[in-house]
Amino acid sequence: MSSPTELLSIDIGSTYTKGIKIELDGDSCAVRTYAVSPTTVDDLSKGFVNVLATLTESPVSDLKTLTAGREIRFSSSAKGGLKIVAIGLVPDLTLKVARLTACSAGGKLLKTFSYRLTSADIREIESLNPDIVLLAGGSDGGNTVYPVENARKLAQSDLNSVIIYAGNRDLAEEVEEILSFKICEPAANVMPEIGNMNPDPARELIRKAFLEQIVSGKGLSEIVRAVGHNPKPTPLAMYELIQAMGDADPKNGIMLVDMGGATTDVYSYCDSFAGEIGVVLRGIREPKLKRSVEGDLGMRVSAKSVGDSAQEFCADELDKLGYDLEEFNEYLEKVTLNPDYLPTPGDEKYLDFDRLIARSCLQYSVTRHAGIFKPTHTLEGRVYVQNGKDIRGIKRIIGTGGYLSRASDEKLWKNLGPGRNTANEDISLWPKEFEYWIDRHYLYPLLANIVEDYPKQAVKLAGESLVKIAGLNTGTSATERLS
Amino acid sequence: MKTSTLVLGVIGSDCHSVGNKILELFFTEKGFKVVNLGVMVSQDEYIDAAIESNADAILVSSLYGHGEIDCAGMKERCIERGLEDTPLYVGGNLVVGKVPFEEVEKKFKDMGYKRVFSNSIELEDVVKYLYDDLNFHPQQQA
Repeated sequence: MSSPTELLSIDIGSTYTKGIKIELDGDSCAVRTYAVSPTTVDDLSKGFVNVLATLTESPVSDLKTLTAGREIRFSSSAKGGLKIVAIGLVPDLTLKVARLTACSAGGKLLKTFSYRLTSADIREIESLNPDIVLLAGGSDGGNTVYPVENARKLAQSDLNSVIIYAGNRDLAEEVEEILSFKICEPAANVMPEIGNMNPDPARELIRKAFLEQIVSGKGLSEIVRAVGHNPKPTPLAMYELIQAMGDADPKNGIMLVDMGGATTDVYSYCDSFAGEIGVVLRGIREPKLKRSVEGDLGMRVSAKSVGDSAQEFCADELDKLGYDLEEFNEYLEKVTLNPDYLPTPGDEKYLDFDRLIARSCLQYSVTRHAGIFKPTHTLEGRVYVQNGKDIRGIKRIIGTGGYLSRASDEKLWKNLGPGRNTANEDISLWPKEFEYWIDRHYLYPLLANIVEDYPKQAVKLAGESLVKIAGLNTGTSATERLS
Repeated sequence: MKTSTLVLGVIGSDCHSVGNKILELFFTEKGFKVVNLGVMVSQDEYIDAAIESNADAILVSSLYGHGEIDCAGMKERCIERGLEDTPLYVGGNLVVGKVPFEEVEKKFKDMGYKRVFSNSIELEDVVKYLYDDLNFHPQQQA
């Protein structure tokens, strides 16, 4: 079978439906046409058809005719992601692993619970009404009490969410039995041994549930019928793209910050522990490819919560810029209520305010993504206890999303770094020295669609669409202090 | 076959890792399932791991002389966190200076440790105590 010469990739986002036409010729490839149209929530296929018609330069507006004989990949964001509640046993062990698994699968983590679920917890989960409950607890051969009790509580609840059991494997059958009147999917344990993660089997089940959820979106089943296959969940497609980009250049770690109106998602690809002398890793060994989702950090819908989460940081920056905190807070309120608002060019104050929101999101999302070193004094001298992921070795950070793709702003990362918001003596393991690039035409979600079938081409185009903005050094690094 | 799970680690700011590795190999060889947390382990980390792994015993090592401070309050913490029945064992160079072992043993037993091992005990003897205390006899099962 010869490879097609034209490939269409379309992403149905919550606000816009976007598409590109890619020309493929053996290993070489290029992006030819770009199209965008508002997402038609009442019937998603309308927006889809608009984009298809532009891409194919066709006057027809019939889904069947437009898709006939064409190679199409598409994705859907499923209203910002699948809602997940994660339940673990000990907060620092199975709960932490369950949380990492849910985030890496592209879920929107509503709430987490540890130890025994109380009746009040169950009522809260019922009112949160998640799409998925991820139930973990116990290493393999380990705890047999809590996972079973929690399963019983869930069985007695009014929930009709999909319950994925990914705890102690010895209990899988029993839990399945207890939950036989619910939708229960057993997966391999997310933490088979203390400290070791195994997120993939549970993530695969979350992906499946995700698909069923988005396919039920209005008009989507028509698209699936016409195109001949299912859409990809957008956050999962991004995950695969970063994986492919990292695998193509495993020596230099990469990081991607996808900043949207509601959330800031951070992906990192690098070894999580460098194994230096004088550093002891405690707790969970985090995965090579990690994704974190910050629901309180975003440019618009979450602007007000940025003001709360990054309060001190914002006050400090406003002081330097000579703006009034009150006025900034009013602005946050305004853009939260009007997520479509964009400051007009030349309106310096509001442009500065937007930059400050973006800087806060970057500062806090990267700090939360990164692990820490806790300096400890021992008889052998100072030793650092590492918790979380060491991302100091990241050499390239990529910005994407509406704001970051547009902002060729050298000052965006200026003075951001590990020292800005870590408590006490802890050293945040921020990237030390890196280049900042942007996904200039906001193509990443579209390239992510083709990465499964065309990994080489997707990685190549992802590299080509980047524009370098600045080289940065985040100041005193932990390794320098180590010597 | 029924197994018995031990949580093992070196407590506090102690980074002596060689003996810890030997203990892991030895107890695994003797039929135990060993959850080895390595060096510089906090009290809560032992307890976290013991809850998740349903451990039968927690074995605390301390070699750098600060054992008394590091180990104090651990039994109470276990009780608070629901592990009142999980026995605690401690061994190593538990205190600085020449204190008679009987005194050291009494001190740690008063703190709630089931058995206290000096730095000169034979590991074969330790394992016999564990087999009996935990009613675990892998040879007989085999």
